Amino acid sequence: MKILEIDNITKKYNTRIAVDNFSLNAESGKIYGFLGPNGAGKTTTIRMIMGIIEPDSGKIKVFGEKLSESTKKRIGYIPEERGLYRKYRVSDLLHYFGKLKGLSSEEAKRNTDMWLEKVGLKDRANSKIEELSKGMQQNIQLIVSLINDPDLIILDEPFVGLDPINTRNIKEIIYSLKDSGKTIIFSTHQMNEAERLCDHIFLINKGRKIIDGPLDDVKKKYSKNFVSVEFQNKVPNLEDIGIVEKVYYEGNKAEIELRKNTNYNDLLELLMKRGDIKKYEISESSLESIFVEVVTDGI
Amino acid sequence: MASKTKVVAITEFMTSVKRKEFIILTFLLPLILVMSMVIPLFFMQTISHQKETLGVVDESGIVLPILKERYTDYIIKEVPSPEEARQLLENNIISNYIVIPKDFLKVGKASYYSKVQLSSFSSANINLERILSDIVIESLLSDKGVSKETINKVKSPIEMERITVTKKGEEVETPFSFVGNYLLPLFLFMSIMNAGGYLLNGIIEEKENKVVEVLLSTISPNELLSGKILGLGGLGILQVGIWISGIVIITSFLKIPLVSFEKGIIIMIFFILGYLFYSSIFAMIGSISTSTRDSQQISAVVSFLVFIPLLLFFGIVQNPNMAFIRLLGMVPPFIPTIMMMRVLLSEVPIIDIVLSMLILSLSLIVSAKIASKIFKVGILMHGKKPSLSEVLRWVRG
Repeated sequence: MKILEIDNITKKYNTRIAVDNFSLNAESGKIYGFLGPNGAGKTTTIRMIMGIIEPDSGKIKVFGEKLSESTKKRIGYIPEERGLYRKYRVSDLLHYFGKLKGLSSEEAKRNTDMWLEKVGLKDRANSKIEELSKGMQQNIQLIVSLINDPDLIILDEPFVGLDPINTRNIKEIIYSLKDSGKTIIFSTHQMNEAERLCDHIFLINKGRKIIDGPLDDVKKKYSKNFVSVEFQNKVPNLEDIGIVEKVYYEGNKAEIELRKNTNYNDLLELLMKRGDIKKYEISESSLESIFVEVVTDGI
Repeated sequence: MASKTKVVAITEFMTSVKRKEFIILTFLLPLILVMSMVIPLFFMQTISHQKETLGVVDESGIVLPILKERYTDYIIKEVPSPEEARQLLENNIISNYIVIPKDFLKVGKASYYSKVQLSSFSSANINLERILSDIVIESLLSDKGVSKETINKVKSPIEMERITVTKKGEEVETPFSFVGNYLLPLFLFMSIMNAGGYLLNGIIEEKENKVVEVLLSTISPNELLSGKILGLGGLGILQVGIWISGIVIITSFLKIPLVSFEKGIIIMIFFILGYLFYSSIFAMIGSISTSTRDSQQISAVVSFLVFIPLLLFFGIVQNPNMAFIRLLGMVPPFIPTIMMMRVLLSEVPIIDIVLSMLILSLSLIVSAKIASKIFKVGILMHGKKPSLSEVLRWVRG
C-alpha cells in the first residue's frame, strides 16, 4: 500500500531553490533512509510532508489522501531540532501531546504509561524534562512522536548525539515498528546506520533526488567493483583484460576496478591464466563511499 | 472551538495560573498598592495624635486665649518674646512658633516660623489660618455691632454639595473616586500587559526550545495562536474577576458607591477587546524576535505606548469629554485605557463608545490577521532577526 506519494514538489526561498522537482513513494512495512549532505533539502522536504510549510508546486499525498488534519494525526515526527517544554513534567508533556494528536484523556494516559514502561523511564514520569539526561530526553521525544500509534513515522537525524545504548534502543523500536507494518522514513548522515537499517534509499543533493532504490540495488548500481589480488610473484600486466577498467599496481598486489555489469568469477578465471594467485578478495564499496562519490561528482 | 485549540487553551491556562509571577501580581501587588496608600494615611493620623508644641508670641494680647481654646492641632505654649521663641525652636523644645504683632487685628499679618518647610495644604495650617481669620472677622464685626448669627454666617457663608447627574437622571453624590478611577484602568492595563507578556514569552520559549516544530506537525499555526490567546485571555479574566470581587467587598465595607453595572459591562468589553488587540501585537513581536532579550526591548516600547493615557490621567480628570481626549480615545492603541477612564469619570456620549469599540474591533481583526501571517512564518525562524521588508513580505504572502 502506498503510504506516501510525493509528486514533483518544488520549494524556493527567495531565489534559492531548496527542493527541486522532487518525487518519491513509500510503502508500508519498510524503512526508508533519506540521505543527503547538510543543506541538501532534507529538512525542507520533511517539513513539507508534515504540512509545516507548503510546496510552491507539486503534490503530496499521505495514505492516498491530500494532507489534512486527519492525515496529520497518523504521522509521527521527530524534527531535527529537538524540542520539549523544559519545565513540564514528563507525564504532563506526553499527555498534552497525546491530546493534541486527538487521543482522549484516558488513551493519552494509557499510551504514556505503556511507552514510558517500554523505554524504561516509568520511574521518571513525574520528573521535569530539564532534569532528564539528553538520552532520556531523546527517548521522550521519540515517545511524543509515537504516542498516538501513527502509521507513518518520520525521524530527522534520530541518532545524533546518542550513546550506543540509546542508539540501540531506538533502533530496536524502529525494527519493531517496521514489523508491525509501519512505514519509517529517517534522515541521517550516518551512512553506517543507514546501511544497517534501511530497506530503501533516497539520496538528495542540492534539492534534487540523485538516488532512489532498494539498498541492495543501489549498492550494486553505484558500487565500483573492486578486487584486490595478490600474486606469488610480481603482478603481470592486466590492463589488456577486457572486463578490467583500471589497475593500481603495488608490488605483488594489485587493486583492480572492474567494468560495470561484470562478474568476479570471470575475472578470477582470467587472472589465473596470468599467474599464481595467493589471495583474491572482493571489496564492495560502502554506502558511505557511494555517498561521497555521488555527492562530490554530482552524478 | 476546534478541539486542538481547546487543548492548547486549557494547557496554557493551567500552566500559567500556577506560575509564581501570576500569584504575586494577582494577590500581592494590589495588597502592596493598598498598603502604600493606607500606611501614609495611618502615619499622618498617628503623627497628628502625637502633638507637637507651637510657641505663640502674642503681642496683641487677644489671640492667645482663643487659640488655646480652638486650635487643637498643636499644644500651645506661651512664649514672651520672639528671641526666646527662636531659642526654644533651636533647642527643639517647640517645633514651630507664631508671632502675632500688636496691630494684628488691624493689619491682619502674622509670621509663622518652622524648621521644616511648610505645606500650605496641611490641615493643621489651614485650621490655624482659618482660626486667625475668624478672630479678625469676629473682632471687626462685633466692634461694628453686628449680631453673633451674622458673624457666624460671614465666617462660613456657603456650603457646596457635589452631585453628578447620570444618564437616567438619577442624582448621585460624587464619591471620592480618584483611587478607583485611576487604579481600575491601571490594574486592567497591568492585567493585559501581564497576559500579553506570557503570550510573548511562551512564543519565544517554543521558538528557542524548538518545540514549535513538533507542535506545528500536529496543529495549525492559527489553532496554536488562538489557543494561546484564549487560554491567556481566560487567565486575564480570572485575574480581573479576583480583583473586582476584592473591590466589591472593600467598597461595600467602606460604603463607597461602585460604578454602575452598565459601566462595568462597557469597561469589561473594552478590557477584552483591548486584550485581544494587544495580544495580537505581542504575538507579532514574539514571532519576529529571536531571543527573550530583544523581545523585551520591543515590548517595553509597546507597554509605554499603552501607558501614555495613564500619564494623561490628571488631564482627563479635568475634563473627560474634551475634544483632544475624545480624539485620542479613537486611536486604536489608546482606546482601551482612555475609554475606560472616560467611562469611569463621566457620562461618555454613546456615539463615542460605539465608534471607539468599532474602531478597536476593526483594528483587532486586521492586527490578528497580520499577526497570524507573521506568526506562521516567523515561528519557524531562528538565528537571524528578519528585516522589516522581510516581515512585510510575509504579511503580503
